[in-house]
Amino acid sequence: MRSKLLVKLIGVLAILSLVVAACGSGDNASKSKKTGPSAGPSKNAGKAPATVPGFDGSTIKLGVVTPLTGAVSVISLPLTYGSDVYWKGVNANGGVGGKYKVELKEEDSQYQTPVATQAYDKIKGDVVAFQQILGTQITKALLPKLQADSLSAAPATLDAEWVKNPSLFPIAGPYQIQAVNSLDYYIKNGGQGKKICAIAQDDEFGVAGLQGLDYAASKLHFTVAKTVKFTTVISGGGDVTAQIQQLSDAKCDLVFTVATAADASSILTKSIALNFTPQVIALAPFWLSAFAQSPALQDFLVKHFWLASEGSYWGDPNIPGMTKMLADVQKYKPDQKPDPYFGFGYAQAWAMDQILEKAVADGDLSKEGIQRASNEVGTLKFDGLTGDYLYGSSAADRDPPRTSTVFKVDPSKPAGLDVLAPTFASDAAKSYKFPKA
Amino acid sequence: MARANRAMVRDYADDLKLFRSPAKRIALVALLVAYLGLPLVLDDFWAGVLTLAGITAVGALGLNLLTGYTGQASLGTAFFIGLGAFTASYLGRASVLGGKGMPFIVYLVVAAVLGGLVGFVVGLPALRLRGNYLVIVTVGLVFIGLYIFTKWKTVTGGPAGTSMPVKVDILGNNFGSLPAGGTVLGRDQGLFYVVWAIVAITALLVKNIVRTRPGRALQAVRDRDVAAEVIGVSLFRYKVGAFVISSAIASVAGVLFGLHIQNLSPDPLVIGLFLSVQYLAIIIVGGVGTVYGSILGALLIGGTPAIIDRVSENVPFLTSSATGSGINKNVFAQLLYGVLIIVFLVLEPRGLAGMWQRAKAYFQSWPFSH
Repeated sequence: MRSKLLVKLIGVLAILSLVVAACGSGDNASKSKKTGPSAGPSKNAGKAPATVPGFDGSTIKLGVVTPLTGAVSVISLPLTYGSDVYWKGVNANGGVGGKYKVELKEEDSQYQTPVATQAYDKIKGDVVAFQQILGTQITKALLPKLQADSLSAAPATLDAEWVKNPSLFPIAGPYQIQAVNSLDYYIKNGGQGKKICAIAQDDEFGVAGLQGLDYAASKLHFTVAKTVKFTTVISGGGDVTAQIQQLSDAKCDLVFTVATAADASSILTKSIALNFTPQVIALAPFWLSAFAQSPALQDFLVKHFWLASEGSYWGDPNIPGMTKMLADVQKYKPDQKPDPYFGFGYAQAWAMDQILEKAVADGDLSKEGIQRASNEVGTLKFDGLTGDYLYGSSAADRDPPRTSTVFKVDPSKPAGLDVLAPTFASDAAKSYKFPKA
Repeated sequence: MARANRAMVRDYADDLKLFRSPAKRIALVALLVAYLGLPLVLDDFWAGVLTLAGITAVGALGLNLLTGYTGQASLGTAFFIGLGAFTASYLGRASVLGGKGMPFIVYLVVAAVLGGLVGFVVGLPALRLRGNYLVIVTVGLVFIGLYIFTKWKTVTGGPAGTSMPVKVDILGNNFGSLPAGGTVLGRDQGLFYVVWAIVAITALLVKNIVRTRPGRALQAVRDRDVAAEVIGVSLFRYKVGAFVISSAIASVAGVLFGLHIQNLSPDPLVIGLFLSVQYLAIIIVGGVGTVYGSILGALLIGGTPAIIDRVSENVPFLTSSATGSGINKNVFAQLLYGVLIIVFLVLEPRGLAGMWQRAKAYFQSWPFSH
């Protein structure tokens, strides 16, 4: 009897709280409204920016919608830490423009579009822009909302589709460029005439990587002998035995791999188990530093694995941007292990800082003001941490870095990677045309 | 002579009335006021939460008709959600994006018809299978559907996914961008009107089925299908018919789901088996074999993470930050979700609807409640 009363009480209270909470619009009331187009340069240049949602006169708030939990958090957490450390460094020096500190407002997307949409809606009224949105599908789903709300976001994915989108602030060379450059290096360094195959995850990231492969094939005059696809472990798949067997049966010399770290271990261990040892080239999201220390994978990786990415190895003293980052790590997160995703998150924050500096100089930290500032910032510079990115006078003029770095595995190095081919841009990469938004 | 208690039904016409008592009629008016007024005061976050809850309620109504009233276990709801969403995308998105640019009513009806046709095919095995065997058939449907959606690039965009129609034109009004009182409502505020109107229509449809002769036949099939057949209830008609109607309703929910999230890919995390399991959990928590239980369950399951989200800032052991200490609030919401299902299964198998029924009976028989 008592348990029935208790359950009744819980049920009534739950429904009441739902009704009460739903009826309250809270401090964050924000209804999407159509806004007029930006009109000309800011009239407030040189003056203190007016307070707007996300800026209260002293603190600038930036949103983060990323999977803080789940399998993908192995990528998103270091990304977020990287941005967080960057802003701690800026805040210690007074903030943007020496005056305005930056605060990150983080929401967990669980790597699911409906959850990410709710997370976005929750904080969009509290922020001036989004520091990070992770996930190609999630970014695509949020784009109509970003456009309707005149908000901007930095996507934590490298698809070529983002380059010319005015609502997005991308950095780094897209996956397609990484693919073209790495294949160009392979062809010119003993790969001519070899059998080239591919394995790609069956989603948008896989599509992006294979676009790069197809472009490289057309420009470098090779044929892809076999392409296999797999369902990622995050989506309920993960067993790539059949796919690896197909590649092994085809006797591929090179396997161009489009997969994230979530499936990397499975691909590598299956290849080793089947005694299949081609040269492997993978794109940046494949790598986890821990792989280099794994006894089961180390030998294969050292002999047969290259990673297409950007910048230099963790700790390279010749890169001023790297030195700056490591100094901030030492101060604000000394327990941070070498992690390329941390570096990417740091660079994302660096990009946003340059845009916000321009917006502060314009005296306009509104959503439209920030978008205008992105068209005035010129070239985003990173002191070698990643490639400089030309933003131009409009999103249509943007030109990402055409450079990539090919890494080899060296367990003695921080993050387990050493440079094989330092930053270079192939002719094929220079000719790649990015789609309009 | 004393008036009879309003809970007592004296004739068949009385029994068929949906809003028999003044209290119910007052509640109906209150709901109508809430329906018209909430989008005008809710921010995008809560409008989105309630819109998604409404979409879930539509799907749950269909599943409850099939599983709760007809006793046909199914984990295939996710397939029909995907079918409805991709149908809406292909028929509704602009021609420059590879679509047909058709209006909302057209792709809604086509999605429902398609869902019904597929439901007919899926319903045929139900004549020979029951229980776990039938469940496995519906599970297979989800995986077959994901494969087809991934490969059929013209319609679905393949792994990269596709965008949904921007406009939601009904009777000359674009509910994706609805003018109201000098301003323009956000997409989720506008969709709220569409979604909850469809919830009402679907609930009425299902209620009318279950409280009339077909509904009694469905329940007879659920309780003793062999005996039902012996007394003249056609198993073919009612088992397959339940699949057809349930699938059509789920496809309608899929159309609304697509319009809500605006971009969909054949991602097992979004339209995979877990979604089907979630719908099953919703009708269990809400009340198997009830109409309003489906709606209550959708509101509770949809609303719980949002409420936790709101209160988490004041709860010391919950955090939403990567650098914060404590339990991540989404992890806590999932934990609570699992606990809710167990609690309801163990302590209140009739779900929220059962709790409501007992509360109502208590007050109706007061002061002689027991």
